[in-house]
Amino acid sequence: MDNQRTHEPTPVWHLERMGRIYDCGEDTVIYFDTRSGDTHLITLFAAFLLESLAGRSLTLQQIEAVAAEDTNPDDMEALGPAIIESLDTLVDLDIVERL
Amino acid sequence: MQYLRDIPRPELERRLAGDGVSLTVGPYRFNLKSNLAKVSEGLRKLYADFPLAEADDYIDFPVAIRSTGPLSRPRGKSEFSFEHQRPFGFVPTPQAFAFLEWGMNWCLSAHTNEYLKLHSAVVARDGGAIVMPGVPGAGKSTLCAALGLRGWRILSDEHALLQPGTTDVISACRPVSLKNESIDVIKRFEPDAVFGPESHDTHKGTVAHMKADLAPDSHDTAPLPARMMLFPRYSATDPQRISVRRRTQSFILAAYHSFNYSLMGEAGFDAMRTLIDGVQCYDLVYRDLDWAIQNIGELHTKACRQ
Repeated sequence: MDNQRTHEPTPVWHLERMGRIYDCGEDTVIYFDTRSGDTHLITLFAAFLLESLAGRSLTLQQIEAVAAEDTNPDDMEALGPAIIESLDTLVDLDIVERL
Repeated sequence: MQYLRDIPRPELERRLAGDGVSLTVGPYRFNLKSNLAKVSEGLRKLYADFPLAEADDYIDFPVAIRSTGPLSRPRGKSEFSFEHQRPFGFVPTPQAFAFLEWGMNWCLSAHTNEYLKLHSAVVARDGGAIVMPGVPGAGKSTLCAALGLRGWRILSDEHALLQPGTTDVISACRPVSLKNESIDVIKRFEPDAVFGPESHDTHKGTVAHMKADLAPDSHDTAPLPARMMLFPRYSATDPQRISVRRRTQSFILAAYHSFNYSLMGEAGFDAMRTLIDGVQCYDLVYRDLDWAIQNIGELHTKACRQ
């Protein structure tokens, strides 16, 4: 039996170029993707993640660190899964790349 | 200024069959040609008060609906054309007036991009407009016709032309298209409403158009600020209601109802954002026209005061 183990690279999320956001004070915002020309209805949290990722690549740990600054300590446990869920949606929408 | 009603009937038919008749429709000029009696009759009824274009005006849309050629005429077929484009192919001649209207809609939908264009009825009163987007069958044209017959100015039942960077709407007033049951609903609602020829067995069923330029300023092209965006839906069973629609949802729905939002790219996003920021957005579910008109009037009065 071959005991050789493969190590999956740490996933990185990347947003090439920040689009335009229309925030009119609701819990959702309009995101206009200037790269594709598509318009999306996204959550405020997703918009926060996009602003955090704008023009750069971050690991989950790095995104968690940025998000933790604005997060209530009681909600810290749920932060990681919430980030993953939002990023998965943004990847599905072709706004963010998972590298 | 001359109007279509100033042209005597024989002269109108002669001109339609020859060089055409040029009309002003909002900011655009159409030259219409046709050798069909039904088209001439429809134009006389529904376009009588439309201003004629001046001789040296640029014609945006030279269109024709004609029965021509050895194959089409005996078979009762006609063809709508805009320059060299024939978007519908051959159509039954008895439906020619409906196809002229649809062809003119198509010209505006597919060939102009200086405005953000929504598939929407637009009415106005007291210096403010209401934009009413809706999918076909939502009841926007029926509501638009009823509002027009109760003193509101009809700017369009099909195209909201919005000036980017403002909430201003430009009128492109043309006859209101009604289908099937809606025709009788409006005839009962206002027996004096003027209708053009009925076209039966079209892909939308029976279609008839109602004269829409009922206000003294119907053909005024000065911009009017939109105060409200209303998404109407006729329902025979659901409770009637007007409720606030969230702005972000209104943005997405209005973009869905736009002919050229995507085509305009970032300029479209900016134009829609300005519009949504400047209007109150509502959903309307109605079955009774009088109830809808009263409630829309009250909301509009409130919106115009803000």
